[in-house]
Amino acid sequence: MVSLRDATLVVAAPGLWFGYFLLVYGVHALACRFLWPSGPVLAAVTALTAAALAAEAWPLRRLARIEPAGFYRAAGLGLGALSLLATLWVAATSWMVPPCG
Amino acid sequence: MSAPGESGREALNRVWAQPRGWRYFSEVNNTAVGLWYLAAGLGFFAVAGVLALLMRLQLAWPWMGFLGPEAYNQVFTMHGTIMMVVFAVPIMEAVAVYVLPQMLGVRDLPFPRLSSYGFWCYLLGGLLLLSSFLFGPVPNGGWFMYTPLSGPEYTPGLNTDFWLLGLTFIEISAVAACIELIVGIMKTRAPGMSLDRMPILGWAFLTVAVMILFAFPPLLLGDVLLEAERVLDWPFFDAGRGGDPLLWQHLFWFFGHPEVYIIFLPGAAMVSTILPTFCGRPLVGHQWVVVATIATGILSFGLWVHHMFAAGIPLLSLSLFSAASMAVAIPSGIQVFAWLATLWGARPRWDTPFLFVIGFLVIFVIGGLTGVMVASVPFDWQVTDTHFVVAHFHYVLIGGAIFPLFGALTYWFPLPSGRLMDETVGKWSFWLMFVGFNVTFFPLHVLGLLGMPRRVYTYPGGLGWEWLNLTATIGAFVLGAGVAVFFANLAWSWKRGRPAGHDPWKAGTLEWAGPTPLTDSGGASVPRVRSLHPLWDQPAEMAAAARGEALMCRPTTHGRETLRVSAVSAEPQQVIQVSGPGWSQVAAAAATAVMFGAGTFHLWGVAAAGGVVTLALLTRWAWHSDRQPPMARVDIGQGIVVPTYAADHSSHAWWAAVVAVLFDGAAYLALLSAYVFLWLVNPVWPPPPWEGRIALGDILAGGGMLAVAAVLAHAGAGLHRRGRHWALPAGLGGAVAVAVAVAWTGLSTLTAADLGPTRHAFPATVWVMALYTLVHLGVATLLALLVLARQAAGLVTPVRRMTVMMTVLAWDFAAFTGLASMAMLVLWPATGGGGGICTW
Repeated sequence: MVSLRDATLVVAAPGLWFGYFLLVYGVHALACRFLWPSGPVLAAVTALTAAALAAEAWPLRRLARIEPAGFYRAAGLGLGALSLLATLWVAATSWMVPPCG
Repeated sequence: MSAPGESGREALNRVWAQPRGWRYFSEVNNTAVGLWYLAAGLGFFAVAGVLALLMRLQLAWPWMGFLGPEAYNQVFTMHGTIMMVVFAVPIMEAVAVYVLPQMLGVRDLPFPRLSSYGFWCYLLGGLLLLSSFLFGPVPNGGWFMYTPLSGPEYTPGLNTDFWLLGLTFIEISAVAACIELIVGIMKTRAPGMSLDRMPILGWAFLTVAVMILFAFPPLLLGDVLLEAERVLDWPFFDAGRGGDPLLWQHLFWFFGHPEVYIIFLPGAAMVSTILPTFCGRPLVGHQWVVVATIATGILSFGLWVHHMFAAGIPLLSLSLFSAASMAVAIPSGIQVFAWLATLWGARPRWDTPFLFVIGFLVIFVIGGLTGVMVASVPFDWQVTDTHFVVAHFHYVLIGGAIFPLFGALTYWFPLPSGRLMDETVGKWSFWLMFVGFNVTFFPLHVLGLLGMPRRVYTYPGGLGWEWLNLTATIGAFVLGAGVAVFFANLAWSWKRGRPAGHDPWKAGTLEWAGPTPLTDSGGASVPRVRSLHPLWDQPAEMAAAARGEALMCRPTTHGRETLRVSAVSAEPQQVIQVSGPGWSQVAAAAATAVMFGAGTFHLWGVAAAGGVVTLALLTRWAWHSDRQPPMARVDIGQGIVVPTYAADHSSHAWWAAVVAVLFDGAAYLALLSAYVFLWLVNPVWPPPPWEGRIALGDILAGGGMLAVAAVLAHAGAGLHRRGRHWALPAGLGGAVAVAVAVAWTGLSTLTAADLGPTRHAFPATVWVMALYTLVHLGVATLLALLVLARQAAGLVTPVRRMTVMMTVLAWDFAAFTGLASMAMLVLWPATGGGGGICTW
């Protein structure tokens, strides 16, 4: 039977993206205030988020055994893929644009 | 429980019977409250529509003198505010309150009295906002009420205060709806309706309720800060005293942008409900539409700055929010393709609801495309504050919400009335609206590209704008005629429409399982669901349920009841006894209106009296909550026996408490974010007069006492649960005593530090953080006193202890946020290299 924890895992990926988005925005704001180089931090945060999204998708495999219809697994993987796409999309922006212009 | 000789259906009809005559308004059942919500929402929509026609008349030709500049400001402000806040969000909540219980297959949502309180607050708030037309100071600063224009210097009258008053009530009703919907959708569904079998409308309202949970608190905080600036001269938005007008924009748009999706997602879900019915086949890619709904809801929180592209923010911020704004097109696109795929090869019935769905598709896709255009910063800079933006958001909002809503009203009209709306008149209303809408708003794209700014009351001739404006005005009246025809059809068909009979559209979802009009109890019994479309896939079982041969076919606890199920798999867990008719929620809403209304006019004595009465009524309400029926377990049919009371973490009441705390926590996070934002924009934070004004030891002592209070509350509740009755008064009493000490020392410390809140945004923010903690300690104290009184009256026992659990949660929250505020004050400025407020 699919548990509440499994269901939470299914919708976790967009939350990770939102955390990433706020973190990038916050890091950028701090970097501009104190003239810190933000590139390494942003790279690390992006890599961590991508890894977290991949790690979050791994336990979804378990759902294939307990849920034949595949709804939760497909929803979890779909949301994970969309979140990864959105993360990379935002990351690309932060690489291409000077942060404090 | 049935009386002797009474059948199950007779017993159900008796306990769910709606009061007659004027007592009808004491009803709390969703079938009544949902209808009132809908009627009130449509009434406010009509008012805002008339205001729009006044604007279009004024702009029909150059130098028109129909409305002066001040009147025009008032009209566009009220039009926007009513449409966005008083109509669009509440009408979606109304649909949820009315339709969801039927669609989820339950008799009622878990907190009907809360829904009713939300409705009365909404109605009174909307009427108070409209009453500004009678009293004179009509809000005139735009629906976003930007500072400093809305501040005390540029709007010294009560105009802004009326706006804030109206919003306060909408926020109250939104919180009520958010709790009811999240807990209702997660915990009250027909048995077997696991999340993967839940209709799209349920998913959409669940997503929307979660969005309300996080989107409304920043607005609530912004309202409090703006009112504090206006009444107390605390300068949060005054750049001359350390504030920043952009803080308001951030707080407002963190609410304002998700709000667009709070309006759109239910509209899209209505389309996903109506389209399969009229195509006679399931929605293609149901799970992908669920994915898109959730993704859109969360992505929408990363878009708020795109309303501020022209406000002068750093380049990377522009790019980040531009990227996120474009990304949201992906989940929206998934939904559009799912609808097109459902249509592909189908032979749809072209009835009025379906026409509105097709109208939605055409208009919304155009609005979505211009949305991608304005997500691009260079393009946005060109068209910002022009009529292009007006055209874009009307295509999105009228296309995305009004057309699906009108289709849905036609579709679900048989549920309350038992009749169908007239088809010929319905088609007339659709075509008038569709043609009128496009004739009104398409020319506005061109006007915007020609440079016509928005929010101007008139314009000179000779700029090439005349005929486009005249066309838009003619279109607006055609659109208005379409809406009027729709309303006339609604009124006429209520009594004279063709009888709808059973499931007139041959739909697959549960709201059509019973006869039309709906009975007060919502159905003869509760079916077990095994499919996404139970009426298509389980016809025999649904027919049996309609005959009263499934679950809960008679009341088992003497009162109105609904079934609580497990959150994911929807297995029965408990029979919940829900509230019946009464006046306490109406009286509480009226007292709340007196409190805030009198406060708006600075009648502080009357406002305080209203506050006391509100508190007394809410206390009385709380006193009668946490009911434990005399029978511990009941048989709900088919051999299923469930308890009638539970005080654990799966309980609906506990879920509601957690949702309320999350809402409160989101407001607190917004407050911390405001503090950080002001720190970022100020070169020195705290300013020199307040560096080192508080001894670190005082703060540590305050934090320590807060932790002790929470520990005492926990210890008392824990021991009481193990049967030590004395521990509850000891623990909670100790916590209250410590809270009084914290309040006293905290206020003394802040006063001694000379933190004059009118001098600078820093002390003002520190005071708000301190008052936040004090208010929460006050709430926790009141709850503790209530629990102790209930214990003395025998209403709290080691088993019946839900109010104890909630009280401990309140102490935890007060202590946690208080400690976080102290940590913020001590540590945050120090990380920036400033001196900080503490002496180390």
